[in-house]
Amino acid sequence: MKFQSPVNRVILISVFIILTIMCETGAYLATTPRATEHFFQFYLLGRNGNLTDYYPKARPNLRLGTNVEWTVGVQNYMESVQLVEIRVKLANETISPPDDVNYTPSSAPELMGFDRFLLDNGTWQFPFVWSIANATLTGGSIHILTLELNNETYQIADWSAKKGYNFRLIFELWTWQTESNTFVFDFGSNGGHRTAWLQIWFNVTNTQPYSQP
Amino acid sequence: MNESRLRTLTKLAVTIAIFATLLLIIFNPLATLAQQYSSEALQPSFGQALTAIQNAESADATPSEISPLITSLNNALQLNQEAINLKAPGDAGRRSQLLAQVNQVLTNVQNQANQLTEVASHRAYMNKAIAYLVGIIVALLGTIVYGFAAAFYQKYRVKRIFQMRVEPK
Repeated sequence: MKFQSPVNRVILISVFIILTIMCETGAYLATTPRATEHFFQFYLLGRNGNLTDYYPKARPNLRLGTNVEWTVGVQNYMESVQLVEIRVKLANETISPPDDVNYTPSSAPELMGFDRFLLDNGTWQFPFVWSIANATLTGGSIHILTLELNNETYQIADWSAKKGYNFRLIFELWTWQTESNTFVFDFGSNGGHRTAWLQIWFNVTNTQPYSQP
Repeated sequence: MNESRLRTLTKLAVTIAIFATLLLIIFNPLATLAQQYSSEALQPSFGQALTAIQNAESADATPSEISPLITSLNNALQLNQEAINLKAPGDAGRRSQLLAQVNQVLTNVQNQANQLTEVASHRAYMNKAIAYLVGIIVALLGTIVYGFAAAFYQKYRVKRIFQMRVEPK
């Protein structure tokens, strides 16, 4: 190819422009992070870290002092470090659960909260061992008075359920919002909002202490 | 095609390549700086530390660089919880000692995160500049290779034409 020829020069310049566009596009794609879906994975595992054995003998009818062993876990897929708080609430069947449409948390009283900074793609798991330490039967309703959670005692302000059925523990995932400087129940996800919460039901059908065989 | 038009075309191609490269290099650090300045008004210490770390992340700090800061922050959370649990009047001294430790950790984390942001930002800028520069060099090398290959192919064709024999049918 004669480089002095005007036609050949035009071809070479065209080749250079095309190759430059292709290579720069490649460089742009290689150095620009791709947009991905932002979410949290929030889960509760039973004894031994499985999706079974949530209660002793797989029966949610609890006695006083019966230890229930769970594992609570959160995985952060928000593409950034997050400060999360897991709020644990005790409710009966009449209390409203969290609202996914209006992003409002449950109005049940909060028992405790667990805070943690989570790396992007990071996982946080911790044991959640609890038992009912004290409950009374009054007027056909069972009142939970004291709960033991992870070796700490929590006094409950007279929380009852008819015949002891349909109590539940609600786990809500709250995240720190830097704009408002507070924990918020909903988190931004690809232009929209989402909430993450779990609930698990149990019955207190006997106020007698559990005795080891 | 006349010579002056060719020269104009060459100048245009070079100008476009340089301009595009400069634009792409300059655009990204500006975006990073804008994110750094947007969240300076935060007051609570934990939130400030979180923002500082998120800025470092935006500036392309790697998880291995951020991980020790997160460990420190989680330790600070534990100390903070410990301080909150000390409610007895006799524990006031221990409580203020723990809170001082928490503040110290948070200050250190913020300082380290700010340093990390600068380092990561500079590194990301250099990586992008190198990537775009390599793009232009590869395009230039590709053009040269194409030119020589085309010249070689032309010579080969001419040689084959002169080697042809004309035979009567």
